[in-house]
Amino acid sequence: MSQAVGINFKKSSIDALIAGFMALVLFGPIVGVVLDGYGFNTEFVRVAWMVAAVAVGRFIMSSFFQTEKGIAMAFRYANNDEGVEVLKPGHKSKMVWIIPLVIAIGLLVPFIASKYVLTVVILGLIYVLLGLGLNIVVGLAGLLDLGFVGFYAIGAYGLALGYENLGLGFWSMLPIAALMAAVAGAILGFPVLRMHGDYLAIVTLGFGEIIRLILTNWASFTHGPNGVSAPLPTFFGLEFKRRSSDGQTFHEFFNIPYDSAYKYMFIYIVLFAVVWAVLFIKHRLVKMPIGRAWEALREDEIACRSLGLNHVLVKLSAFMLGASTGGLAGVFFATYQGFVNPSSFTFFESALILAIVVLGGMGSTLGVVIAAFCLTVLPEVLREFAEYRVLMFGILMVVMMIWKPRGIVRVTRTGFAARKGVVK
Amino acid sequence: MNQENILAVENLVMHFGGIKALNDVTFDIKRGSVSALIGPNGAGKTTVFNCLTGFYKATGGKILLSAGGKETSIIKVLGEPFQATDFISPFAFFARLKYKMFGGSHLVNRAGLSRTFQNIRLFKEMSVVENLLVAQHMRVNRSLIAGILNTKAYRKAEEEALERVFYWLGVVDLVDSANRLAGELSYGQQRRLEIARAMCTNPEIVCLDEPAAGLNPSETEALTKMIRVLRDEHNTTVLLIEHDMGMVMDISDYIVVLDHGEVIAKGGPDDIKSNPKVIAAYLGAEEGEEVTL
Repeated sequence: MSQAVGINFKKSSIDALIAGFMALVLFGPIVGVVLDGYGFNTEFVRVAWMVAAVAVGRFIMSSFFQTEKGIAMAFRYANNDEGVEVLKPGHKSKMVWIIPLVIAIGLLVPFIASKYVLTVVILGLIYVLLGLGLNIVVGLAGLLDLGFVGFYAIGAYGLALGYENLGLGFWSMLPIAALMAAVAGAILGFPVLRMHGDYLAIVTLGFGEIIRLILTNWASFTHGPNGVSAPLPTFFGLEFKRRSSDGQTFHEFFNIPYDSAYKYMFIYIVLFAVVWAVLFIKHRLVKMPIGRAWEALREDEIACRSLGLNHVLVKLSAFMLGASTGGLAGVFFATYQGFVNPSSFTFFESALILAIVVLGGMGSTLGVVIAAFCLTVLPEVLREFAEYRVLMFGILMVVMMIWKPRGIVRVTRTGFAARKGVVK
Repeated sequence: MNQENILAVENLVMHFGGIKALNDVTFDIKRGSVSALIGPNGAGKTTVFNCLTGFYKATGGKILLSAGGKETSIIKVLGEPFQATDFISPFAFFARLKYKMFGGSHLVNRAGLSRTFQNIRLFKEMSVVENLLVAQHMRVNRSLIAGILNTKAYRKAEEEALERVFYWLGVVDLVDSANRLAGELSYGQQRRLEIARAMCTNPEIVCLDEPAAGLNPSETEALTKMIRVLRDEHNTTVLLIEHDMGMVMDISDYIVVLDHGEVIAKGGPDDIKSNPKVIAAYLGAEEGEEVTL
């Protein structure tokens, strides 16, 4: 192919004009018309700036992609959907330094961020947990679960009702809720895991709805739509309230003035630790026999059975581990909100968690973390566009399915160094 | 336990609705032999295989596998319907309930019989090594705690599993492709990998469903050698379905010929070659011509 090295400025100009016109259509009504009481002001300058920025940007981009470098770059990214890559044996990622960096930044966040930012990050981390849990079920084991929010609800209501009826606090409910969610996963899973694909998706969808309906209608136990209040975590028995009826509170013990942000700081730090623990366990699981069995089951169930793997138990273990992670997230959600009611556990939440897994890349841990933050933090940042959230998700999904059908982060597989074969 | 025969099939019947795929099939497979199951298309060979390996639940008859020091009834481990007598004896009831809830074809594999598939079924998006590691699932350290903490016992078990992997990769000549995706391999390599994977479950009898299909003559010859290695060095009994008559006659000690769901002949290669019923089944007999032995 003969490379036309020269840049076709005519083409670039047309591109820029089209982009500018589209920006005008898009930003004109949104930015240019500002409501002021019952009337409105028109702000042409702001629109002009935005349209100009888009047009110039498009012109530069269009010109760049006509240079040799630009062509090479476009080509490289266009060929990026070739799927799974096996790493070389003994592969060490160059990005390892990023883990301590993220931990350090993460530990600093509660002390520098405002209370509002902190609550947003906590929400993001809760969705990271949910995403990781569902990633085991959908990404690794290949079981489409549309009712994941059921386990989330079990965790959240476990904390609220456990406190109300049995006096169990945050710390005792954390493991118990994980266990309860796992047991619920087993009870749901055992009869239905013999199904595949669509049938399983419908049954799990039903399960999520059943949980929500029980929470709404069993008013004598769950208080129905009125919801239940959930307790805050305690720091070695010290409460994070302004005043405590029994015992000391956190700020009294340390002799510091009361601040309602302390409880969020504490929840954040505990949650941060739990997320890292789950990340570590997940990282180990995929290299362990059970993780390999999950992925093998996703690839070919019949072959798995022919190799002596009990497909029902393997699926059940994925379901239970995923569910228990969802339960953990539920406990954090309840304590963070201080209150739970059934409207937090609608099908939309299940769809959102599934979107996190699909966007992040099936089976990819890093991708799920990034996607969870994108899908929970971005809507908070772009508060003005909150009504368009679902529309944005839809567009994002379509765009991803076209350009990166396998998720943001490419899945890699461990390579093994050759060794001397021995058979005993 | 039967020392001589590893597999005994008695009066096997398999019906799919009104279609009688298998009608009273009876044969024995000798321990340490290479046996072949042949017949024209649609004779019911793969159906027999699927019954033997537990993928179909036979309508009637008996399949006994004598491996691993015990005798396993393949139909029983798949889970049979309850019978009136079960409700009197709790022991029989729970045994049947156990197989009904947790039974299935995986128990056949654990009893010592493994198989390959006519249309290759590898884990395509996993590496070659991982394919063989999955096959060793029942032999490695599956404890969650040990795995997460990466204990010494766990690492040792994994290392042993990897050594077995590379041994079998050596046997099937795939060491160079160890870190490729199984789906990327060429057709012949995939066939060999599937055999290695079946062998990694440590079976006493391995059932190969058309292992030479789609292979060129030199690959077929290499496969023949490999099957001999399985029998001679690993004391594995081999049962295969094959259409390549040259290969079948070359390696088989014993041949069972099926046609229309019935065994029409069994014996050594030389008997089969000259058996008029077999020739008639393959080439077709003239109408009205009575085929006699």
